[in-house]
Amino acid sequence: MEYLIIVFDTTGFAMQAESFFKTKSIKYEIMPTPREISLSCGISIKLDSSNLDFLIECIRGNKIHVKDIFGAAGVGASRKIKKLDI
Amino acid sequence: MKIIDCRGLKCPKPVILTKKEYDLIDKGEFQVIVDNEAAKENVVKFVKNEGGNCTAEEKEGLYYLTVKKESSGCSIMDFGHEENLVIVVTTDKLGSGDDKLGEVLMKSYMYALSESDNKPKTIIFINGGVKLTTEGSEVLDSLNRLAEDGAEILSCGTCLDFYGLKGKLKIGSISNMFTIVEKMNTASKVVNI
Repeated sequence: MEYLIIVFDTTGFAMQAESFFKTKSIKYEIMPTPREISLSCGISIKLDSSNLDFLIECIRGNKIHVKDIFGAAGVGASRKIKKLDI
Repeated sequence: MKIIDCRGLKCPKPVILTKKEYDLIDKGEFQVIVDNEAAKENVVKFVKNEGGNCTAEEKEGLYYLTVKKESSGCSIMDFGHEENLVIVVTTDKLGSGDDKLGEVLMKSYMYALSESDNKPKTIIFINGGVKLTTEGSEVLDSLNRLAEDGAEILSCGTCLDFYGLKGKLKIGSISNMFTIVEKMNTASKVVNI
């Protein structure tokens, strides 16, 4: 697992989470939700996998509202993703 | 050797004068003197695009450019079918409606573009688009990936100047409207966003 993809129920939640990460000086990237992840909004946030513990803490503390977290490796057509249990 | 003295001339005048001389001669050398980096870059770029050779030498704040043109005769033409995709970005937000959403969509677009199979050969940033290639931009990671994959990234110099961002360019190079028009007109496809 090289990086994390956080997906959201709504674009509003994605934008809220982005603002939150900005205030925490966490390095993130906005990315479109990969096609293989359906039933989520189209905006996802990519984080380095080293941020997983911090991310779980934020979710438990209700700082951000996420739908699912995926562990991912590779890019484009060769991207492999796996849903993480949180 | 003929000397085209462009000291004190503002862009795009040095390129226009270089083009005039370049078109006039069949082959040979001439020298162009400019007094700023952007003019130097633009002249070098122009000559290279035309298939000529240009070497620059800096002396006491002036750039002495030696332009060399080979005979235009018959050259080997490129009949390749490689797509020359040019993307023109005229704003820092994607679409109109809500600016916050537009910012997020632009980040998402640039990310997807950086992972796309058909990468653009050139991306041109105009007007508010230059906020994406300068300090504070949140799409620099995506643009870096595109540049690493060979995309040429050009920002409109007039626009950088207008927004006070000339010294804050973080990726690619400064361009002028002549180059921009040339890139658009020689593209196999132009996507305007």
